[in-house]
Amino acid sequence: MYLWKCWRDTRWFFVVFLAIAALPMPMAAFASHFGTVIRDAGPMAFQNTFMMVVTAVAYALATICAIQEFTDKTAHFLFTKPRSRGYFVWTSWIVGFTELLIVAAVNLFVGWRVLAHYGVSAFSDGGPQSWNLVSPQSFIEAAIYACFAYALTFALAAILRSGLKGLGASLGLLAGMVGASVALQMRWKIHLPVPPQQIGHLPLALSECAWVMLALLFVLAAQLVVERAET
Amino acid sequence: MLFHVNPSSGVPIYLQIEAQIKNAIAAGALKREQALPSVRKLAGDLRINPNTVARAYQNLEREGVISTVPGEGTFVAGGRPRLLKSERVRRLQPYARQIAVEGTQLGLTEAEILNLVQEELSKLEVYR
Amino acid sequence: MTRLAISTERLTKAYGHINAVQQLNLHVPRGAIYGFLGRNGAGKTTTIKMLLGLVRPTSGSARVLGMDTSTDRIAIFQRTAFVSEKKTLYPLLTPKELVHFSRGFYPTWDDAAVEKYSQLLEIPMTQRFDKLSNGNQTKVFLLLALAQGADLLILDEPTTALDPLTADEFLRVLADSAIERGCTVFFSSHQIEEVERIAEFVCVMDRGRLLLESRLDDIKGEFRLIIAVGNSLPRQTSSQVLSVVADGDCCRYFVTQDAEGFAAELAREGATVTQVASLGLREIFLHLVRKEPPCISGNAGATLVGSSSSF
Repeated sequence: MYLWKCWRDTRWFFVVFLAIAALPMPMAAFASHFGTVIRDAGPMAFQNTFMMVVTAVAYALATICAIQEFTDKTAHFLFTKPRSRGYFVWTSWIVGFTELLIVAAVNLFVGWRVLAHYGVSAFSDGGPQSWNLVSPQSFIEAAIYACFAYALTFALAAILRSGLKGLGASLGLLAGMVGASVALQMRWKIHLPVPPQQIGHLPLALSECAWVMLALLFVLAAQLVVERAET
Repeated sequence: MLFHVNPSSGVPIYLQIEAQIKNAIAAGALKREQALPSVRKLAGDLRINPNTVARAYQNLEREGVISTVPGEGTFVAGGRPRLLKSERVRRLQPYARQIAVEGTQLGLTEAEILNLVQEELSKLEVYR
Repeated sequence: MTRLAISTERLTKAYGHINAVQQLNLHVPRGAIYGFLGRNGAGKTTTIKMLLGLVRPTSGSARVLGMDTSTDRIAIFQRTAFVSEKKTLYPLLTPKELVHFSRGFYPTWDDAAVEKYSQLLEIPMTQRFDKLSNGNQTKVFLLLALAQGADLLILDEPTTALDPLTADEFLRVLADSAIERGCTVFFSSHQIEEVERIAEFVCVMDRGRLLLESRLDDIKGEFRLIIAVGNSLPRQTSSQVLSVVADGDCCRYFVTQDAEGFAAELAREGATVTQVASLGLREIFLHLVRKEPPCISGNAGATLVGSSSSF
């Protein structure tokens, strides 16, 4: 029942996000139909749009999924239902995360098919002016970052009891991390990894796993805060 | 339909119900062996707690005023009240005292007071 | 199986220096309709929230349906229906959808009850919750509570937003379903007349403390207002005489037990007792909470609990 409600709250947003995921590449292809642009810039455009779409949708979903449950106005109703508060936290998180995965998958699929239509390989820019800026790794890193952003924003929204506050805090935290990382690098030559960068000398795969673990820890923290909350 | 209670009065509701049932029997509105409404029905009609009605019915049954037949309902008792004569007299005494005091305060003679009581008795079904 | 649906032991909640609830000992018997009275800010809602785990007690404990509120919350929720003071629900859902939402949580859900009560209470089932009037919003809450098939209903000011007719209907439904299913009803209210109608047990709370907890019939049977005129009338209060208001040679005594005995004693000392009046619940409540200085805790009705009513 709660699953149904989470879906119901997000379904129209989900439709919009699907549209946002599915439209850019076909539109870009159509706009450059008679040029060679698609061959050179196609993969780059694809990668960039993927990163933007998946990141934006991650932040948006986290804001939406958390906002309606944990405002105090309905907590008295929800938290007296015979389910643990952890159940509510994780269920709404999973619904949003699933929608995020679907949006990402749609975006990847559409981009891949559009580029394949022009005989261009989607995940690498192996053309004459190859800069090797596009690679499967970039897509994975973008996905990991989106996952991280989603979990962090969701957790902060639950802790601060407001979707928008969570969003603001999350973006602020990210900006802070980036700023601190740059400062540390410049001043003391210490490298502070920002997701989804590699952590120290860990292999990249492990680093990404570590970021995902950290993301899940945020949600766990949110669960603990919500369990102890007084309404 | 016969009964009406005032929950805000200082008199507990169950006592009001008991008094009204007794009054109704004495005035002939409720005949011997006549069925009384069920606890739930009466409570629903009066918008009160069914346990209050149940308590009144239990007390009246103990006094022999009404009786319950399992599976059939509650009825006005056919036989004589179960209380001892001395107890019944004792219960009436405060009312008698009240009549005596009031009558004296109002300046009525003993004969006038007794006449009044006689009139009321003759109005009751039981004594006609 | 405990005889009490709700019991608290020295339940306390302090917010900094403010004692919202102090050393509260409640006893709500199973199957009873129990009215919880108190002024605004007396601590009623805080107490209810502690029973439901929405607020953590500072000290003391509470048991609901025999289970500890700090460890067995989920099991308690399975069998308890709650209507909060704040009648807010998901704004975009209709009552029909809210029923659909709630149904899945409770195996004891009664669809027939939904049908019956939604018609009886005249609830527009397909209108968005935020578009409903205050009264209708409250009715939706009541509907969800009644259909749940709970063993215990905890209602915080259930009829505040209802018009008198609907409140009347609701009380009848409540009393009827209570006796039909044997469930316990614990409700707080400002409508003293309603409490007087259907509550079997009553509790009065003031400034975080319990002033009185007893059977309503016993309170009405014992509490009296005695008015006496005389030269040297006693002026002390005690557990028997809760308040004394003096005006010249006339005194009004608010007596909680053995009023006849007290009146006789006054008469013996040469005073003239002009009235021994019984009191409605409203007057009793006002006497209890208006008293200066405030009633000290220790259950003004403690002796009543022992005599004829045993929980």
